[in-house]
Amino acid sequence: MSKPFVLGFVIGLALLVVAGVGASRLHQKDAEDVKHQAELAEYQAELSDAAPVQLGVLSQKERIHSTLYTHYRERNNNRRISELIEPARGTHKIVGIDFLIGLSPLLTESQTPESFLGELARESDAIIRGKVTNRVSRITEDEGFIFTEYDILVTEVLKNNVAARLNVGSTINVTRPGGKVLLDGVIVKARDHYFAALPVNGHEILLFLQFIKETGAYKATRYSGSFELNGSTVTPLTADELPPGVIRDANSLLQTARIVSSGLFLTDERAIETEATCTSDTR
Amino acid sequence: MHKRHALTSTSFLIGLAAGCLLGVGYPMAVSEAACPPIGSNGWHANSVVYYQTTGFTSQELDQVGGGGGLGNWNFHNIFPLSQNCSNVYFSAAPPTGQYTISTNSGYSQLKPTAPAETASNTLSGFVVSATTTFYWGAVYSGNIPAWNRDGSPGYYSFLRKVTLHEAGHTMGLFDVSGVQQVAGQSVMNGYYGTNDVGNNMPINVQQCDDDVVSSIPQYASNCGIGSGGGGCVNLCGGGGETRSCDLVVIAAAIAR
Repeated sequence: MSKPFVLGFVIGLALLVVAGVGASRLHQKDAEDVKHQAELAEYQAELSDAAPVQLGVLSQKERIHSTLYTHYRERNNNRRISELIEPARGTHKIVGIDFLIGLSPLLTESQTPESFLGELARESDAIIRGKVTNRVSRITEDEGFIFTEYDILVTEVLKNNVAARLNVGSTINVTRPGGKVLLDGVIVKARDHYFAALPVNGHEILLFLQFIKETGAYKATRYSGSFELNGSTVTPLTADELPPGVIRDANSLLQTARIVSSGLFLTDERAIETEATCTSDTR
Repeated sequence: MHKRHALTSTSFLIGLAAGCLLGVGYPMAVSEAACPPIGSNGWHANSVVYYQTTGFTSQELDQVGGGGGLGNWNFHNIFPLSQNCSNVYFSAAPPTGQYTISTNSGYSQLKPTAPAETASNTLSGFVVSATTTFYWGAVYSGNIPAWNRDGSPGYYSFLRKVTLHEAGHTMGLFDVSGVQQVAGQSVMNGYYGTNDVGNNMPINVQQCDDDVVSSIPQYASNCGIGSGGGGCVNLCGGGGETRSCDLVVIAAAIAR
């Protein structure tokens, strides 16, 4: 075999390797550029409704509401939001905190809407129908999570708060876990999947609420006690499943909620007890 | 010599064809009703996830860690013999703390029926850290304990099942809806009775789970589905997933 042939062969091979590596790097760079562009586009889209915040800057009312959410940091291995955003600073990235639905028992037994909503109504100080008119998200004082303060225009009072009467047309404040903020240029989205965000799309909502005496605001009685109403469609504002049979349509939900709120409804157990008493009396 | 060569080539081609056929069947598996929906992107493809555990006895740890639930996910995740496209490896080696699994003697205030729950932190949509908490005091149907920590095989089996479920969340899977659940078909099923005595949850990651993990875009591209990814799938003409790739690799190895 001649020397020129060997030399040419080696050079040819080397050129092939260089071209291959170059092409691979170009491909990699293209992929990274596409990824970066996609991240930037998502960041811009999320930016519009992210509430700009500063750590520790809270009103007295927000500070009190912040104490309702102290368990989140413990459940997230004591991580603080300021730590979580460190790798995202100056990169137009979005940081997310998600509390997922816990492992559930297989729900096989159905529950009547009367029984389900009746329990909710008994535990609630107020039950209202309304619309979100404003919202603002804040980071909790311990930096463990985000919560959102909603202003709700009341369109119907199904159960009135005996401690502070509500009127149709008034606006109440409801605090709820989760939300989106902008902190030091980083968008932080926090979600507790038990509590979906209240809709700001003009749809009505039905809320079972507990009164927070210290601030005059409200919080959800249970995560399963918030519903979005859109025409005849009703959507529970939770990612968890409700017992089978509870949700039919918006009209029947509202009708049942009105009945259980008025106190006219007896729970299944009490109804059965009453029936048994009547039967034995007859005998 | 020629005869042996021809036989080897034939074996290889048969393996190749088998792999491609399985690849063609893949999309149908994903659309099965009892499979879990996608919940998130999961951990970065090809990453090592360092985990630490607290509050478990050594026997309990056998069911949670590398020899139990997390080990089973590793078995399904890691190339080249993997069952899905993630190539995510759970490691107990230091540095720990990326994924923390701990215990609580009480129950979840929000959902007392939950034997465990998970929180995850993401950066650009990918999980970067997570915490799973086991609640020993969880109760269902009023006051029936979800856990019976009696040291029975059923108890240890439940530990493994719950780990598979919670780690499944970090792999990007969501819970299977109650009405759609088929007993044993997904680790993302709910439990049935104390220690899941009704065996609604499987003790290993199922094909259903692997298929959905492989359909998460970042994992899919790891197998060459969509943009980027490895070259294995090209052998099958552009469609398929890890399982088919693996079979091709195995067939090639046998043929050699």
